[in-house]
Amino acid sequence: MEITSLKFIIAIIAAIFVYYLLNYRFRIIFLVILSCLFIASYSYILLIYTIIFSFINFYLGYAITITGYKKTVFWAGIVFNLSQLVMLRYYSFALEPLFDIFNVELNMSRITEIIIPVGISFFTLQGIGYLINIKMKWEKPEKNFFRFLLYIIFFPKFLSGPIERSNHFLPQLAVKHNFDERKIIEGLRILILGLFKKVAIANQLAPFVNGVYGDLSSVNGSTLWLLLIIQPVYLYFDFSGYTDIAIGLAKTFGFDLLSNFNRPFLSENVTSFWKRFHMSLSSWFNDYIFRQTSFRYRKWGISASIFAIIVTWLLFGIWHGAGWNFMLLGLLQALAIIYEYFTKKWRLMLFSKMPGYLSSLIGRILTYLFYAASLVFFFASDLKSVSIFFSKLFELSNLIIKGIRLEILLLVMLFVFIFLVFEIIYNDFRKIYDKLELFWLSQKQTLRMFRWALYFVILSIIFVFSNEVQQFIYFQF
Amino acid sequence: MMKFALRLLFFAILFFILDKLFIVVANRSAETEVDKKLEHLVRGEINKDIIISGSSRGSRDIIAGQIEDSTGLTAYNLCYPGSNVEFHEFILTTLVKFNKPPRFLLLVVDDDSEFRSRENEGIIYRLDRLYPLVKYSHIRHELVKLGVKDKYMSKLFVLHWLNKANFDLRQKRFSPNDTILECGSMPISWQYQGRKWEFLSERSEYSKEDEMIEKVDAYREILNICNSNNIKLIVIFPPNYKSHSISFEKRIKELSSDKVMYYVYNADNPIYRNKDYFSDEDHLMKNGAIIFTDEVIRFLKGLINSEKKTDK
Repeated sequence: MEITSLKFIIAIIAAIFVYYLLNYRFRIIFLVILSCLFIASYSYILLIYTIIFSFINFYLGYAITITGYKKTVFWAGIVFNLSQLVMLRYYSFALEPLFDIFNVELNMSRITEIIIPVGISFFTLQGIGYLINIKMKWEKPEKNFFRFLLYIIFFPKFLSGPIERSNHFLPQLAVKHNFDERKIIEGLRILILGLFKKVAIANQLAPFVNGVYGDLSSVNGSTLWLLLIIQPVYLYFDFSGYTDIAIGLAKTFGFDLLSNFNRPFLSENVTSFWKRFHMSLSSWFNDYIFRQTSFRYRKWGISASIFAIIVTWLLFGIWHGAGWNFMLLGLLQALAIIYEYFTKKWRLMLFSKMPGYLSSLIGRILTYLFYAASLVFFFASDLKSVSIFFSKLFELSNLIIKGIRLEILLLVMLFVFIFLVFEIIYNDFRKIYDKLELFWLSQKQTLRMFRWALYFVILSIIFVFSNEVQQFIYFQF
Repeated sequence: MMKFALRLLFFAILFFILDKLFIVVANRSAETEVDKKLEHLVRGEINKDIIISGSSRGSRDIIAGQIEDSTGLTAYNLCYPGSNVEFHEFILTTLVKFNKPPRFLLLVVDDDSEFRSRENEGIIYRLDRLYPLVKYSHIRHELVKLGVKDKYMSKLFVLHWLNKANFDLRQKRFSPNDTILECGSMPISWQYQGRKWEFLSERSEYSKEDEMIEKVDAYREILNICNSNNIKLIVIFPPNYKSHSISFEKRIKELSSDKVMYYVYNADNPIYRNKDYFSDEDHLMKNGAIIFTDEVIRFLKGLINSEKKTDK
């Protein structure tokens, strides 16, 4: 079922009421059933697969604490999680070349046709994270299978995250969520804004971005420059839109999911950008890969950190897809972070001579441009397309805008501008933001009417713009 | 919880009521259209003896007014440039639903691309022609059938009918290069300069492999509609700046019933090898269209005369 469809939203609003009317004991089962129905709407086999996947991880987590072979069970769990991920997501990249070497004729693509690995990259990391937490004794194993199952399959986050941590999500299942009108309204507000970001901004930019990448040979440098500037905005509004929908939905049921974005385009360097963009993934890699690797090789000194950064970001790139372009995407981020680490003092010295606002602005623009350029590796289908993109970048001539009418593009950019202005106010002028928020939440009758009028406008725009369906970019993971 | 539920319900009711204001946009959207053919059709205003259906070839190459003047029968061109056979089926369904069925339907086929799969086609289902007319329930029903709109949402909300394009309330106009005649035909008087195009004398064999089953079914449905409404279907093969595809003609005949008649352009006429009569490889210019329409008229007159003799 399309998560941005109004039918889905209406069904969910009905489900919220049922959820709070139910006795507390049945609420988890109700959410499990809702999540199962949601996954089954994509594929019944995927549902069975995720239940088996959850059961194995649930059992292994439990086994780690009771068996004498903790290490063996733990590594068996890691191997299980990774091997199913490789088999379902990376077979063409990792397995097929191996089969070719050994002359084995095995068509693995058939499996993915049967299982349809939607959301696999997300729930695999949740499974691995859970096992590591148990092994490191950061949390106790869950004893109730349905709770663990819900941790894996909870429908708002199933398709594209945020990648939840078991020690953040599972304790919330033990708490009785009473009907909290303020929390539900907040959830619905986040959900509507998420829908708006996805439908009115990202979906409108998608035909332009996809159209240009689909036919790079027919465009010139001017179009590619425009694309270069737009693509971070497109990705951000698509993904943060989905995240907002997930967070908003979860909140209406009383759950707090992990944040995924914290005004990333206001980052002044790449290191801080990755602390603010796709945070649930970057913090997962930071905690479970970077820290573990740098700790293991701590005797190497600074080299351990460099090694850990490279390993972490290469894996980060591969997580995004099976291809050399994704590895290079990760490597680029690693090199930028290493560069920033070694030039920190020098950069601080240089920027200290400038006014604060100017150094911030320069930092933000450079970070944005770096990310924009590295996204070519993300959107291009292969390295050949990447090289075509960069080689044509300076063949400037008349600007050709494909897939979107100019007036729609301008309207969408106006929406983007409004969102970014609010992000800047929140980030840089917090007092003004707080005043605005207080004003917004005022219970005065006129303000309430204004709020409703604005919701009506936003919903109308969502209605009209949602008539053209576009898939989420992170849906493929 | 009850208070919250009531507030939500109140907002939903308010939204439901205010939503109906957008009917103004739906109405205005139809008014701003320059091509009113489909609207005339839905309103039952196309009651003609001869209807021409097809895509740009039919639209550019056959002048309905010329047929009217020569045959004394009323004629109208319902061809849409860039439209596919599924769209032609919709046009015919709409025609017989709201209007008097014509005596003759001239279906102008698109050379060998008529049934080709979506990946390599330049012709589409012209949804853009439907969107401005969403105020008509027949159009909405078609959009629901196509999966573009949801059945229930479309019953509940006017906003669900609308697309971004509906909010462009400026009066639409044809480009200076294009024009639509009173009779619905759209002849052109300019030649395409974008690329070189030369006469293609050797044609590859038509392949059924490239066919899309939905398009073949749409063609069969056109035959059914004609059959059940006593419409005489004439499949027209118009001239292209290339030799005639005999294998495609065979395929059309293979799919058609005995009742269907065919008219293939006169390939011996030297003007069909003269670039001055073509706009591009696939379309005639107005001077060529007048000549080709004359050919069609001669064929029609023969048909009408033989019908008269049979009646006597």
